[in-house]
Amino acid sequence: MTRFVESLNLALHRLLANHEECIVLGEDILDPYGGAFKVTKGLSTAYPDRVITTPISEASMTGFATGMALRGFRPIMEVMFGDFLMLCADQIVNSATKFTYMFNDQVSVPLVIRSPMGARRGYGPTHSQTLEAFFLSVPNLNIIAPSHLHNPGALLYHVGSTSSNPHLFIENKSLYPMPLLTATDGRIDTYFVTSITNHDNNYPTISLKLSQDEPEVTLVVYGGMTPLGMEAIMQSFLEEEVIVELLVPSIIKPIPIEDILPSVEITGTVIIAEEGVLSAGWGTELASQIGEASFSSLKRPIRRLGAKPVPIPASRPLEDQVIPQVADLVSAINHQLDLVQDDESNDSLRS
Amino acid sequence: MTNQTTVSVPNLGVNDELATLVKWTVEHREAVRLDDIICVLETTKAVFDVEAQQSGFLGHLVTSGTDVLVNQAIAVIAESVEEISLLEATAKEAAVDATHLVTATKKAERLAEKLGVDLAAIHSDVIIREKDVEEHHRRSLQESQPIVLETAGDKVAVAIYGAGQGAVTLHEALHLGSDYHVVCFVDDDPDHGTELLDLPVYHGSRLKEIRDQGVGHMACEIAVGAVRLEKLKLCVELGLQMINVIHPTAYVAPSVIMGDGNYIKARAVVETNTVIGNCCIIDNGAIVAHDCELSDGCHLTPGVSLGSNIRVGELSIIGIGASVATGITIGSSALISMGSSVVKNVPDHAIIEGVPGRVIGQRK
Repeated sequence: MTRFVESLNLALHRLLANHEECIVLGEDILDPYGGAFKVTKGLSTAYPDRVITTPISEASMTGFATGMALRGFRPIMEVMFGDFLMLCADQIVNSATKFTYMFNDQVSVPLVIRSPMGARRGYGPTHSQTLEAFFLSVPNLNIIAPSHLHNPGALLYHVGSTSSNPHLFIENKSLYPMPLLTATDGRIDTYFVTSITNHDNNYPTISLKLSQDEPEVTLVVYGGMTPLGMEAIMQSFLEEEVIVELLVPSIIKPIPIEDILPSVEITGTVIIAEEGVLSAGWGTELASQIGEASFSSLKRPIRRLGAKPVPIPASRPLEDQVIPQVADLVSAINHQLDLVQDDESNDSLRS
Repeated sequence: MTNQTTVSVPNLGVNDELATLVKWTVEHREAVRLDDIICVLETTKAVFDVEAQQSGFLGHLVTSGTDVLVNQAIAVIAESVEEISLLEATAKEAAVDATHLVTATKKAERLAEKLGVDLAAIHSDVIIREKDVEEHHRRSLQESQPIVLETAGDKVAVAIYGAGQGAVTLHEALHLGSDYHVVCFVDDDPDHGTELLDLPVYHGSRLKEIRDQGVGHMACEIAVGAVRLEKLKLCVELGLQMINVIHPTAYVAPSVIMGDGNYIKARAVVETNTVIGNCCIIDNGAIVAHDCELSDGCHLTPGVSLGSNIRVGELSIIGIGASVATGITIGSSALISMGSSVVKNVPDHAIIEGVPGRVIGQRK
């Protein structure tokens, strides 16, 4: 059973082995330490010329990597915590993603920035965030965010070897130690699993249901919210026999809307749950796109869940009050279907 | 129990809830001293030696190579080896209990309790729902009750083997005539429910009981020829007759000779002196010209056209709208693809496709 972090590590080894132009860079990634989350373990020993440890300057690192990309390398850059992407932002927004346009297609910037995001570890306000939303409107930037239902190594390998524009590759840190779940004969335990590739064969959206009958609710999550989504649909099924279809995309920008609409057309009832802050988050964009494409299928308003608009506390129990929990997802499902009449819905999780 | 301590997986780092027990350095039931290293744990960040907190005898609770959770008990240190044996016995019992876990929704559990249904008796690889409990209960009630069939009056009572779409077609055909009356369906698949067209569906194992209720005739439109022939054999063993069913709008020449269990459907044509074996299906609009010979279990699908003097071997299937030239011999277990045109003899097990038809493969 391969773990999420092992899958990524193997992919980096394969990228360096098969592609001379690949460079891996980041802070503290050299052996024996092998990186803060060990994703880069063993790489500097095997490929000492192409694994670079950088000074503690995310802005410089990104500029450096952008320059290398311009010169024909395929840099795969690690930003130790996704919170630090803010320091890379200018290089990403104003240089890396614009050069191809500004220089009239004479150059390309195949830059891959990998970074762990997410909370549930008690790392505090500046090491626990989920910040993909800040980059959702940047033209010419793609964002991949695998879950343990996908093959993260295969996704990283594909991005690292074939991309022609800048990519963010977001790894939720709570997923690192988790074994990857692969379906056998369309099943993972009692879940029915299908892989939807209407949007792009390389970036499947995984669908999970507990019954082959038509679902009543579509629940969309990605990355670190996936285990919570799986648990929530199980609880709903066991408690009330509600059939929820859980959709887990692997690419979040552009949004694989073609993978999500078929389910919406059946259920007309949508819940989107993310670990990032609710306001102007990924759910906001997805909800708008669903509304535009499929308004007549909707039976009720789309419901979004996300983190409260406060810094994530360092205290673990307080952290749990800020980011969505399984109970919040189950409560949202019940409320969408009018299964409860109480006022105890966590209104501050909605804006 | 005397001074026994449990060894649990320590919290090795903020990142990991899981560790792998790489190896035991003290064997099961071996003596161990305070501070001895008893096993090695590996996390995503580091390798960690677990030390014994007291002296005694070590009892393993997990095997090496297992993934363990933080705080999970992985071993005990007991004062004597006998205590370890006792532990093994209780652990085995717990494991046996675990295999009886049945997953069912709360509604299913409540209904099961109300109806007295044992959830473990419902074989399912999905989570059992309320409707599954209901269905199971209904079926066991029906299975435990004697068979009660409505009378056929002065018509001949017929049971139909199969409870799918084919059976529904057969039922309609039989009731267009005035000789037969369908009293029940019989099926081997438990998922086919307990009722069809307001008639009971019984499990195939109850065929004898149905016969004992005075039903002497069966009809069958199961899609697979080999299965139809199996059911014919079963009927012969039980003394039931498998009738030929001919739709009122089909034309079957008076000189045609037929075996048992055949089904000639609406607008089919079977001409002079053609001989048909057992359990064939001549589907809607199929044409069989004079002097043909159809062996057991064939299926001529809708719109098929056969010239004269054609021989079709056992269990062969001729696809929709295909045509076969005069005098051709088709072997057994052959498959003629839809719309093909057969102009040469067809070997056993061949798959034919195209105009003119060519062998494109073999049936297994």
